[in-house]
Amino acid sequence: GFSRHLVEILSRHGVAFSSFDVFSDEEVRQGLKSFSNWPTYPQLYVKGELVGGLDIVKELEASGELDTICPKVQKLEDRLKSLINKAPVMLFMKGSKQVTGMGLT
Amino acid sequence: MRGPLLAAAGGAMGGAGGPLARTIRAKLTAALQPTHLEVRDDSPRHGGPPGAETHFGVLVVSGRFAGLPLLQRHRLVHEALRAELAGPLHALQVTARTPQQWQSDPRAPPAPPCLGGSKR
Repeated sequence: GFSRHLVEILSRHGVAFSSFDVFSDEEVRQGLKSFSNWPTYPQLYVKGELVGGLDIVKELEASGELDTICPKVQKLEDRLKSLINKAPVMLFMKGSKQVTGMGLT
Repeated sequence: MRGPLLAAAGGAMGGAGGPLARTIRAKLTAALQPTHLEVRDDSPRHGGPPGAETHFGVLVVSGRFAGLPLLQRHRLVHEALRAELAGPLHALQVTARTPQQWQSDPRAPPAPPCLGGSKR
């Protein structure tokens, strides 16, 4: 129940995140608790560091800090800008240059 | 705060609540010398029968938290309840404030709604 609540908070703030289902791996589920010395789930990590559980994330949300510590979902415009600048010459095409067989290497 | 309130203001060690509630209260008092302590059995809100004592919420007001980020404050609470968290205590909501914070805002967050599942 607490896990779903935390997902809602992250979604509300447009935070880009991946998740791991600890029910899918008992080794991780138990191992992470001792690895991080944190006894419960959910556990939120930002840039490899434990931020805490639901209680802490709620306080960070209330204080506004959540928005500063968590990277947001990249806006499409920013993503497009980043893509068109990926190389000095960028071709957006249907298919890939290897497939055309036209000697583009 | 919803749920049976098992503590009087001032952190007096009363006999209210089940055995786990009393243990939690005693351990937190010994470890953190709180100026205010509330221990709440949330188990009924998580589908347990009354007196199940599996899910607790604690509000700890202590000078020991001064200068500590939230993560460290919660770790202090976990440390005090290490044995319980390895055992019967399945979920623990923690609110950790300094006396100054508590004085300027004496409101504890409500217990989160239960959407199913165990925290561990």
